[in-house]
Amino acid sequence: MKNVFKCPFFNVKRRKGKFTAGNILFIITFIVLVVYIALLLWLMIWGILTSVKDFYGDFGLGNVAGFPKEITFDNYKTVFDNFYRINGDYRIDAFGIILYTLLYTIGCAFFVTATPCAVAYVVAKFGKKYRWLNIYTSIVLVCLILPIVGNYPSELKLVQSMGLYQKIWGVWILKMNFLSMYYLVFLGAFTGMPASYSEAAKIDGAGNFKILFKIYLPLIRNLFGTVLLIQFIVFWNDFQTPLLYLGDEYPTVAYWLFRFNENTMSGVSTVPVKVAGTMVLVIPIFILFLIFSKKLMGNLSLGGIKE
Amino acid sequence: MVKVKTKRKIDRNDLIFIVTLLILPTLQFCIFYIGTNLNSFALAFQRYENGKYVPNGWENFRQVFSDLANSQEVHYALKNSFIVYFVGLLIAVPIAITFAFYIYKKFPFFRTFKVLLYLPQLLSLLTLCLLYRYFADNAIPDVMNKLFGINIVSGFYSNKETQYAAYMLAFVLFGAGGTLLLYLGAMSGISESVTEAAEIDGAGNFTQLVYIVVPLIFPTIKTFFICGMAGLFSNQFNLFYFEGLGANPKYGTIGYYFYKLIAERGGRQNYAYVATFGLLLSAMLIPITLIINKLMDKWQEKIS
Repeated sequence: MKNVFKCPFFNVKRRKGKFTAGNILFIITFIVLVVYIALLLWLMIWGILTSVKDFYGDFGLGNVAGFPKEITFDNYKTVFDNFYRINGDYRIDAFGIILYTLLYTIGCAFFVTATPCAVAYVVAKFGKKYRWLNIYTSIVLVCLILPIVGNYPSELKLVQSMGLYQKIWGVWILKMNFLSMYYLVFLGAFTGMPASYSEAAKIDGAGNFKILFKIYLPLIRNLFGTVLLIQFIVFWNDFQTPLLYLGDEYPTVAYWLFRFNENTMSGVSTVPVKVAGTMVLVIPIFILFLIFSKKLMGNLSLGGIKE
Repeated sequence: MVKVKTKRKIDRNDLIFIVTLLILPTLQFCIFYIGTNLNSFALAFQRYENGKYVPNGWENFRQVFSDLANSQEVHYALKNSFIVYFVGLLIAVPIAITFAFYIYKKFPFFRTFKVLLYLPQLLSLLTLCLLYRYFADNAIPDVMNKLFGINIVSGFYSNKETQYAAYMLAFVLFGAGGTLLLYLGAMSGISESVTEAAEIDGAGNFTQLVYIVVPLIFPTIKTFFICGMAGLFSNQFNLFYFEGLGANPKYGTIGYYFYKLIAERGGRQNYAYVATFGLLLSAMLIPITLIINKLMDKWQEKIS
């Protein structure tokens, strides 16, 4: 080990006199990471600062990238004054938009999480006894691999013909499928749990439903909660599904933001007001992250979504 | 000796339980997966007229082939779809794996990096793209002017000469973080003793990454690669977030082109055309995906 010494800052070994490939890779990665993070942080901090800048007395006068001369929340007031959608003859105000968002988000997140969980439980616990159940795993694997392009029109047509179009519960049904990576995650978790729990419970007279609800669901609640949380964030941020399937009938916050951004009316078309609008979508998720960061980050660090 | 096959009788309680839990997901799958895709076939031979779908023979196929040969917008969309896919594959994936390796090896500030890299996952792409749009148009020219004296009249985003680069930067910037966490998850399954033993044997970081970590997480890489094949023709390049329906056709992808045709006013007129185009692309992509899947399986056997 004579010709090897430790790099003082990075604490990695490098051969005397020349950088090894590992060292160069490490230094480049570090620099790229710093630049990447700096860009993201700059973007976010710029967004926060811009949202509290007055357009006419500050941003519009050339203070585009600096700190605000005076912090003002007028942009947020303008955003909340415009927090509504007109649908035909009636106006859906902030309360309505938030209510629809919660119904859409919580419902979709629940069905997207519960459906693969239920199917995975049946396959994991009864797949050995009734082999035909394993076809569900094969279906998931095949459907995940098959690249099907452009089936939106067909789905939309089907949804319209079945009377599910522009209905929140219609979208719930649409999302009630088990064809996701989470099916494999739940399957792995249930398969890893010993069968002796259910055998002991069966001897004590417990039925299948009791075993599921009293034994296995409590054991899996952390994983279920994490997937639910991840899906909540996904659906909170999603505006393309509401745009196609719900429209102005049931506007969500993300859909409102998309339309708000298209609004060119004077008073709401300045950059600080538009940026304040985007913050409306960010703030609730940021609060959620502060509360559940350990859960989200901890679970993700262990293996995507492992417990 | 003659083997007698005994049919396992299904327990009544089990049957009730299994049916209760599986009936809705199974029906949903039959209607919204099998039904949707069968309906795509039917739609390919129909057209929308006076509020209903009527038979249209092979007209939609003729239209698609004609557009493939003559439409500038379709040519741009195809070209950009391939560019975006390969940029994702050749730039975003290696970046994500290298970043994940950095965190896995617990190099300096790994915890801070991990939390901050989670940011793009937390925020909606719509938010990030809108912020980025105003940021690239306002803050970047301002900083360039003040720091380097470069006067950009039209911003990085609005400037026609740099707009494509601005889209691409956003695509890489917001796309790398997502897969990073999943690669990190896969790496966390590798015992530290494996890399420690390699380190004792004199393997540097580069050697560990290329010869130990990548082969061990190869199943994950393969899964994302195979599942990502569908993204070739469904990736919208974030254009809908940036521009709504009004993006320059020069920068469009097939994913954006399809979505635009469906979401625009009178989109029902385009359903049959998009379904036909989608069918043709799927018919091309499915065998390619299956062949690549087989090849990667063989490669995996070789390196493991």
